[in-house]
Amino acid sequence: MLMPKKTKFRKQQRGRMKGSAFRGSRISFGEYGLQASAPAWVTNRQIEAARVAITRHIKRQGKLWIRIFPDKPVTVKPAETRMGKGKGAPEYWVAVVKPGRILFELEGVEPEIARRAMELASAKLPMKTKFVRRVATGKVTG
Amino acid sequence: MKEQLLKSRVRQGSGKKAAHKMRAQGEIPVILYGHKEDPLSLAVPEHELWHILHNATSEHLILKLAIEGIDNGEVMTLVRDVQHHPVSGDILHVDLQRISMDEKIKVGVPVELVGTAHGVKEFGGILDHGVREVTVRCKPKEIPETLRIDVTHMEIGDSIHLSDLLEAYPLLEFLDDPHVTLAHVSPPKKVAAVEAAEVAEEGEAAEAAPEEEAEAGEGEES
Repeated sequence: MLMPKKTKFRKQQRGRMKGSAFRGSRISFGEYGLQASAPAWVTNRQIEAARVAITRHIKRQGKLWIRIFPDKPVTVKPAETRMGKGKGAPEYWVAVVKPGRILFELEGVEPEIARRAMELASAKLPMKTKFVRRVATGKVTG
Repeated sequence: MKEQLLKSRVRQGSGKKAAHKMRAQGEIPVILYGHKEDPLSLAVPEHELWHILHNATSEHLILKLAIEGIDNGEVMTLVRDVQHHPVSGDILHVDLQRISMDEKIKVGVPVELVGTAHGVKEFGGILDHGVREVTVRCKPKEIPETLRIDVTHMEIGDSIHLSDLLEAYPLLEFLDDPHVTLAHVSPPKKVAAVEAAEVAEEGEAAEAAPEEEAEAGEGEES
Protein backbone atom coordinates (compact mmCIF):
# COMPACT_ATOMS: atom_id res chain seq x y z
CA MET A 1 0.00 0.00 0.00
CA LEU A 2 1.10 3.56 -0.64
CA MET A 3 2.83 5.43 2.20
CA PRO A 4 5.85 7.70 2.56
CA LYS A 5 9.24 6.01 2.99
CA LYS A 6 10.19 8.40 5.75
CA THR A 7 8.78 11.58 7.23
CA LYS A 8 10.23 14.48 9.18
CA PHE A 9 7.53 14.26 11.86
CA ARG A 10 5.46 11.24 12.96
CA LYS A 11 2.18 13.04 13.68
CA GLN A 12 0.29 15.89 12.00
CA GLN A 13 -2.56 18.20 12.89
CA ARG A 14 -5.80 17.57 11.05
CA GLY A 15 -6.06 20.79 9.00
CA ARG A 16 -8.96 22.08 6.88
CA MET A 17 -10.17 21.23 3.39
CA LYS A 18 -11.39 24.63 2.17
CA GLY A 19 -11.80 25.54 -1.50
CA SER A 20 -11.07 23.67 -4.70
CA ALA A 21 -7.98 21.93 -6.06
CA PHE A 22 -6.64 24.19 -8.78
CA ARG A 23 -3.44 22.15 -9.03
CA GLY A 24 -3.81 18.60 -10.30
CA SER A 25 -7.25 19.34 -11.69
CA ARG A 26 -6.47 18.62 -15.34
CA ILE A 27 -5.78 15.32 -17.06
CA SER A 28 -2.02 15.29 -17.62
CA PHE A 29 -1.05 11.77 -18.67
CA GLY A 30 -3.94 9.64 -19.89
CA GLU A 31 -7.11 9.99 -21.93
CA TYR A 32 -9.73 9.49 -19.20
CA GLY A 33 -9.80 10.52 -15.56
CA LEU A 34 -11.71 10.29 -12.31
CA GLN A 35 -12.23 13.69 -10.72
CA ALA A 36 -13.27 14.33 -7.11
CA SER A 37 -16.51 16.34 -6.71
CA ALA A 38 -16.24 16.78 -2.93
CA PRO A 39 -13.48 17.12 -0.34
CA ALA A 40 -12.34 14.01 1.54
CA TRP A 41 -9.50 12.14 3.18
CA VAL A 42 -8.74 9.12 0.97
CA THR A 43 -6.92 6.36 2.85
CA ASN A 44 -4.16 4.27 1.31
CA ARG A 45 -6.45 1.22 1.52
CA GLN A 46 -9.16 2.97 -0.45
CA ILE A 47 -6.62 4.00 -3.11
CA GLU A 48 -5.39 0.41 -3.32
CA ALA A 49 -8.94 -0.98 -3.54
CA ALA A 50 -9.78 1.46 -6.33
CA ARG A 51 -6.56 0.59 -8.18
CA VAL A 52 -7.31 -3.14 -7.98
CA ALA A 53 -10.89 -2.55 -9.19
CA ILE A 54 -9.64 -0.62 -12.22
CA THR A 55 -6.84 -3.02 -13.18
CA ARG A 56 -9.18 -6.05 -12.89
CA HIS A 57 -11.80 -4.43 -15.08
CA ILE A 58 -9.41 -3.29 -17.80
CA LYS A 59 -7.86 -6.79 -17.73
CA ARG A 60 -4.38 -5.33 -17.65
CA GLN A 61 -4.75 -3.55 -20.96
CA GLY A 62 -3.98 0.11 -21.11
CA LYS A 63 -2.11 2.20 -18.58
CA LEU A 64 -3.13 3.57 -15.20
CA TRP A 65 -1.83 6.58 -13.29
CA ILE A 66 -2.55 7.29 -9.62
CA ARG A 67 -2.51 11.06 -9.17
CA ILE A 68 -2.84 11.23 -5.37
CA PHE A 69 -0.46 10.07 -2.64
CA PRO A 70 -1.35 9.43 1.01
CA ASP A 71 1.26 11.52 2.81
CA LYS A 72 -0.73 12.55 5.90
CA PRO A 73 -0.58 10.31 8.98
CA VAL A 74 -3.80 9.88 10.97
CA THR A 75 -3.58 9.02 14.65
CA VAL A 76 -6.17 7.11 16.67
CA LYS A 77 -6.47 6.78 20.46
CA PRO A 78 -7.08 3.25 21.73
CA ALA A 79 -10.69 2.30 22.61
CA GLU A 80 -11.94 3.02 26.14
CA THR A 81 -9.12 5.39 26.93
CA ARG A 82 -9.62 8.49 29.04
CA MET A 83 -8.96 11.83 27.37
CA GLY A 84 -5.54 13.38 27.79
CA LYS A 85 -2.19 11.59 28.06
CA GLY A 86 -1.13 12.92 24.67
CA LYS A 87 -1.96 12.28 21.03
CA GLY A 88 -2.74 8.74 19.84
CA ALA A 89 -0.51 6.50 17.74
CA PRO A 90 -0.27 6.86 13.93
CA GLU A 91 -2.75 4.35 12.52
CA TYR A 92 -3.01 4.89 8.77
CA TRP A 93 -2.19 7.33 5.93
CA VAL A 94 -4.51 9.57 3.93
CA ALA A 95 -4.37 11.80 0.87
CA VAL A 96 -6.14 15.12 1.36
CA VAL A 97 -8.38 15.56 -1.69
CA LYS A 98 -10.23 18.74 -2.62
CA PRO A 99 -13.00 19.05 -5.23
CA GLY A 100 -11.59 19.10 -8.75
CA ARG A 101 -8.61 16.88 -8.05
CA ILE A 102 -7.90 14.17 -10.64
CA LEU A 103 -7.54 10.90 -8.72
CA PHE A 104 -6.82 8.34 -11.44
CA GLU A 105 -6.01 8.51 -15.13
CA LEU A 106 -6.39 5.81 -17.77
CA GLU A 107 -5.16 5.33 -21.32
CA GLY A 108 -5.28 2.67 -24.03
CA VAL A 109 -8.78 1.29 -23.41
CA GLU A 110 -12.20 1.82 -24.99
CA PRO A 111 -14.27 4.69 -23.53
CA GLU A 112 -17.01 2.36 -22.22
CA ILE A 113 -14.47 0.15 -20.44
CA ALA A 114 -12.76 3.21 -18.96
CA ARG A 115 -16.08 4.62 -17.75
CA ARG A 116 -17.10 1.34 -16.09
CA ALA A 117 -13.64 0.90 -14.53
CA MET A 118 -13.86 4.38 -13.04
CA GLU A 119 -17.37 3.65 -11.73
CA LEU A 120 -16.05 0.57 -9.95
CA ALA A 121 -13.16 2.60 -8.52
CA SER A 122 -15.56 5.33 -7.43
CA ALA A 123 -17.47 2.80 -5.34
CA LYS A 124 -14.33 2.28 -3.24
CA LEU A 125 -13.86 5.97 -2.51
CA PRO A 126 -15.39 8.09 0.25
CA MET A 127 -16.71 10.95 -1.90
CA LYS A 128 -18.68 11.65 -5.07
CA THR A 129 -16.63 11.63 -8.25
CA LYS A 130 -17.00 12.46 -11.91
CA PHE A 131 -15.70 10.69 -15.05
CA VAL A 132 -13.80 13.15 -17.23
CA ARG A 133 -12.12 13.03 -20.64
CA ARG A 134 -9.10 14.89 -21.94
CA VAL A 135 -9.67 18.13 -23.81
CA ALA A 136 -6.93 19.75 -25.85
CA THR A 137 -6.61 22.81 -23.66
CA GLY A 138 -2.88 22.89 -23.04
CA LYS A 139 -1.30 26.30 -22.82
CA VAL A 140 0.29 27.68 -25.94
CA THR A 141 4.01 28.07 -25.56
CA GLY A 142 6.20 31.01 -26.51
CA MET B 1 -7.56 26.94 -39.05
CA LYS B 2 -10.77 28.95 -39.52
CA GLU B 3 -11.10 32.37 -37.95
CA GLN B 4 -14.28 33.10 -36.01
CA LEU B 5 -15.91 36.36 -35.06
CA LEU B 6 -16.41 37.30 -31.43
CA LYS B 7 -18.03 40.48 -30.13
CA SER B 8 -16.57 42.23 -27.10
CA ARG B 9 -16.72 45.46 -25.17
CA VAL B 10 -14.21 47.40 -23.10
CA ARG B 11 -14.74 46.72 -19.39
CA GLN B 12 -14.27 49.30 -16.69
CA GLY B 13 -13.74 47.49 -13.42
CA SER B 14 -10.90 45.18 -12.54
CA GLY B 15 -10.21 42.75 -9.72
CA LYS B 16 -12.10 39.91 -8.08
CA LYS B 17 -15.29 41.75 -7.22
CA ALA B 18 -15.84 43.19 -10.70
CA ALA B 19 -14.99 39.84 -12.32
CA HIS B 20 -17.50 37.96 -10.11
CA LYS B 21 -20.18 40.51 -10.95
CA MET B 22 -19.43 40.23 -14.65
CA ARG B 23 -19.62 36.41 -14.61
CA ALA B 24 -22.95 36.61 -12.78
CA GLN B 25 -24.25 38.79 -15.64
CA GLY B 26 -23.17 36.24 -18.27
CA GLU B 27 -19.92 37.82 -19.42
CA ILE B 28 -16.35 36.58 -19.28
CA PRO B 29 -13.38 38.86 -18.48
CA VAL B 30 -10.78 38.87 -21.24
CA ILE B 31 -7.37 40.49 -21.58
CA LEU B 32 -6.03 41.49 -25.00
CA TYR B 33 -2.29 42.11 -25.36
CA GLY B 34 0.63 41.95 -27.78
CA HIS B 35 2.13 43.77 -30.76
CA LYS B 36 3.74 46.37 -28.43
CA GLU B 37 0.37 48.00 -27.76
CA ASP B 38 -1.15 48.61 -24.35
CA PRO B 39 -3.14 45.72 -22.91
CA LEU B 40 -6.91 46.11 -23.06
CA SER B 41 -9.39 44.70 -20.53
CA LEU B 42 -12.48 43.40 -22.32
CA ALA B 43 -15.65 41.47 -21.65
CA VAL B 44 -17.20 38.90 -24.01
CA PRO B 45 -20.58 37.12 -23.86
CA GLU B 46 -20.14 33.77 -22.14
CA HIS B 47 -22.64 31.97 -24.35
CA GLU B 48 -20.88 32.91 -27.61
CA LEU B 49 -17.42 32.11 -26.28
CA TRP B 50 -18.60 28.77 -24.91
CA HIS B 51 -20.04 27.81 -28.31
CA ILE B 52 -16.83 28.69 -30.11
CA LEU B 53 -14.62 26.78 -27.67
CA HIS B 54 -16.98 23.82 -27.36
CA ASN B 55 -17.07 23.20 -31.10
CA ALA B 56 -13.32 23.54 -31.56
CA THR B 57 -10.82 20.66 -31.59
CA SER B 58 -8.45 22.61 -29.39
CA GLU B 59 -8.53 25.91 -27.56
CA HIS B 60 -5.76 27.38 -29.74
CA LEU B 61 -8.08 29.40 -31.94
CA ILE B 62 -7.84 32.44 -34.14
CA LEU B 63 -10.60 34.91 -33.33
CA LYS B 64 -11.59 38.05 -35.16
CA LEU B 65 -12.43 40.28 -32.24
CA ALA B 66 -14.94 43.09 -32.75
CA ILE B 67 -14.49 45.65 -29.99
CA GLU B 68 -17.46 47.86 -29.23
CA GLY B 69 -16.69 51.56 -28.92
CA ILE B 70 -13.27 51.47 -30.59
CA ASP B 71 -12.77 52.92 -34.07
CA ASN B 72 -10.36 50.42 -35.59
CA GLY B 73 -12.93 47.74 -34.80
CA GLU B 74 -11.75 44.27 -35.70
CA VAL B 75 -8.54 42.77 -34.34
CA MET B 76 -7.04 39.39 -35.24
CA THR B 77 -6.24 37.49 -32.07
CA LEU B 78 -4.98 34.11 -30.94
CA VAL B 79 -6.38 32.41 -27.83
CA ARG B 80 -3.31 32.07 -25.63
CA ASP B 81 -4.88 30.70 -22.46
CA VAL B 82 -8.29 29.71 -21.16
CA GLN B 83 -8.84 29.37 -17.41
CA HIS B 84 -11.54 26.93 -16.33
CA HIS B 85 -13.12 26.34 -12.93
CA PRO B 86 -11.64 23.04 -11.69
CA VAL B 87 -14.97 21.52 -10.64
CA SER B 88 -17.70 23.04 -12.79
CA GLY B 89 -15.52 23.53 -15.88
CA ASP B 90 -16.94 27.03 -16.43
CA ILE B 91 -14.74 29.48 -18.31
CA LEU B 92 -13.25 31.98 -15.85
CA HIS B 93 -10.89 34.09 -17.95
CA VAL B 94 -9.34 34.18 -21.42
CA ASP B 95 -6.03 35.59 -22.66
CA LEU B 96 -6.00 36.86 -26.25
CA GLN B 97 -2.89 37.93 -28.15
CA ARG B 98 -2.95 40.34 -31.09
CA ILE B 99 -1.50 38.71 -34.21
CA SER B 100 -0.75 39.70 -37.77
CA MET B 101 -1.75 37.30 -40.55
CA ASP B 102 1.63 37.85 -42.28
CA GLU B 103 3.84 37.15 -39.26
CA LYS B 104 4.83 33.72 -38.10
CA ILE B 105 3.71 32.78 -34.59
CA LYS B 106 4.51 30.03 -32.12
CA VAL B 107 1.57 27.83 -31.31
CA GLY B 108 0.82 24.44 -29.73
CA VAL B 109 -1.01 21.97 -31.98
CA PRO B 110 -2.62 18.80 -30.56
CA VAL B 111 -1.53 15.39 -31.85
CA GLU B 112 -4.30 12.97 -32.76
CA LEU B 113 -3.71 9.24 -33.27
CA VAL B 114 -6.08 7.77 -35.85
CA GLY B 115 -7.10 4.11 -36.04
CA THR B 116 -6.16 1.01 -34.06
CA ALA B 117 -2.60 -0.25 -34.36
CA HIS B 118 -2.14 -3.73 -35.87
CA GLY B 119 0.05 -4.72 -32.91
CA VAL B 120 -2.75 -3.77 -30.52
CA LYS B 121 -5.56 -5.44 -32.48
CA GLU B 122 -3.82 -8.73 -33.24
CA PHE B 123 -1.24 -9.19 -30.49
CA GLY B 124 -2.69 -7.27 -27.54
CA GLY B 125 0.02 -4.61 -27.41
CA ILE B 126 -0.47 -1.29 -25.63
CA LEU B 127 -0.48 1.93 -27.63
CA ASP B 128 1.33 4.63 -25.65
CA HIS B 129 0.44 8.19 -26.59
CA GLY B 130 3.65 10.14 -26.16
CA VAL B 131 3.65 13.93 -26.47
CA ARG B 132 0.11 15.17 -26.99
CA GLU B 133 0.93 18.66 -28.14
CA VAL B 134 3.68 19.90 -30.43
CA THR B 135 4.96 23.46 -30.65
CA VAL B 136 5.16 24.81 -34.20
CA ARG B 137 5.99 28.13 -35.83
CA CYS B 138 3.96 29.16 -38.88
CA LYS B 139 1.64 31.80 -40.28
CA PRO B 140 -1.79 31.91 -38.64
CA LYS B 141 -3.53 30.67 -41.80
CA GLU B 142 -1.30 27.60 -41.90
CA ILE B 143 -2.02 26.34 -38.37
CA PRO B 144 -3.61 22.87 -38.62
CA GLU B 145 -6.41 22.02 -36.20
CA THR B 146 -4.67 18.75 -35.27
CA LEU B 147 -1.68 16.74 -36.43
CA ARG B 148 -3.34 13.48 -37.48
CA ILE B 149 -1.16 10.38 -37.37
CA ASP B 150 -2.32 7.07 -38.83
CA VAL B 151 -1.24 4.28 -36.46
CA THR B 152 -2.98 1.32 -38.13
CA HIS B 153 0.28 -0.08 -39.58
CA MET B 154 2.14 -0.03 -36.24
CA GLU B 155 3.42 -3.37 -34.88
CA ILE B 156 4.67 -4.14 -31.37
CA GLY B 157 7.85 -2.19 -30.71
CA ASP B 158 7.20 0.41 -33.42
CA SER B 159 7.46 4.12 -32.62
CA ILE B 160 6.53 7.31 -34.41
CA HIS B 161 8.74 10.31 -33.73
CA LEU B 162 8.26 13.98 -34.47
CA SER B 163 10.85 13.68 -37.27
CA ASP B 164 8.42 11.37 -39.12
CA LEU B 165 5.96 14.25 -39.49
CA LEU B 166 8.34 16.66 -41.21
CA GLU B 167 7.41 15.47 -44.72
CA ALA B 168 3.68 15.47 -44.10
CA TYR B 169 3.67 19.11 -42.90
CA PRO B 170 6.22 21.03 -44.98
CA LEU B 171 4.79 24.46 -44.09
CA LEU B 172 5.26 23.98 -40.36
CA GLU B 173 8.48 24.62 -38.50
CA PHE B 174 8.60 22.18 -35.58
CA LEU B 175 10.28 23.67 -32.52
CA ASP B 176 10.37 20.55 -30.31
CA ASP B 177 13.11 17.94 -30.30
CA PRO B 178 12.68 15.82 -33.49
CA HIS B 179 13.43 12.64 -31.51
CA VAL B 180 10.47 13.11 -29.23
CA THR B 181 8.09 10.10 -29.33
CA LEU B 182 4.49 10.68 -30.39
CA ALA B 183 3.26 7.08 -30.37
CA HIS B 184 4.72 3.73 -29.34
CA VAL B 185 3.28 0.21 -29.20
CA SER B 186 4.64 -1.67 -26.21
CA PRO B 187 4.31 -5.46 -25.78
CA PRO B 188 1.53 -6.89 -23.59
CA LYS B 189 2.35 -7.86 -20.01
CA LYS B 190 3.52 -11.50 -19.72
CA VAL B 191 0.90 -13.94 -18.39
CA ALA B 192 3.27 -15.51 -15.83
CA ALA B 193 4.17 -12.13 -14.38
CA VAL B 194 0.51 -11.15 -14.17
CA GLU B 195 -0.41 -14.40 -12.38
CA ALA B 196 2.44 -13.92 -9.89
CA ALA B 197 1.24 -10.39 -9.21
CA GLU B 198 -2.31 -11.68 -8.65
CA VAL B 199 -1.13 -14.33 -6.17
CA ALA B 200 0.85 -11.69 -4.30
CA GLU B 201 -2.21 -9.41 -4.27
CA GLU B 202 -4.43 -12.15 -2.84
CA GLY B 203 -1.77 -13.04 -0.24
CA GLU B 204 -1.68 -9.42 0.90
CA ALA B 205 -5.47 -9.33 1.04
CA ALA B 206 -5.55 -12.47 3.22
CA GLU B 207 -2.99 -10.98 5.62
CA ALA B 208 -4.93 -7.74 5.86
CA ALA B 209 -8.30 -9.49 6.27
CA PRO B 210 -8.45 -9.60 10.11
CA GLU B 211 -7.74 -5.88 10.28
CA GLU B 212 -10.24 -5.14 7.53
CA GLU B 213 -13.07 -6.93 9.28
CA ALA B 214 -13.29 -4.14 11.80
CA GLU B 215 -13.55 -1.60 9.00
CA ALA B 216 -15.74 -3.71 6.71
CA GLY B 217 -18.96 -1.91 7.58
CA GLU B 218 -17.43 1.43 6.85
CA GLY B 219 -15.89 0.18 3.57
CA GLU B 220 -19.19 -1.20 2.29
CA GLU B 221 -21.00 2.04 2.95
CA SER B 222 -18.51 4.02 0.85
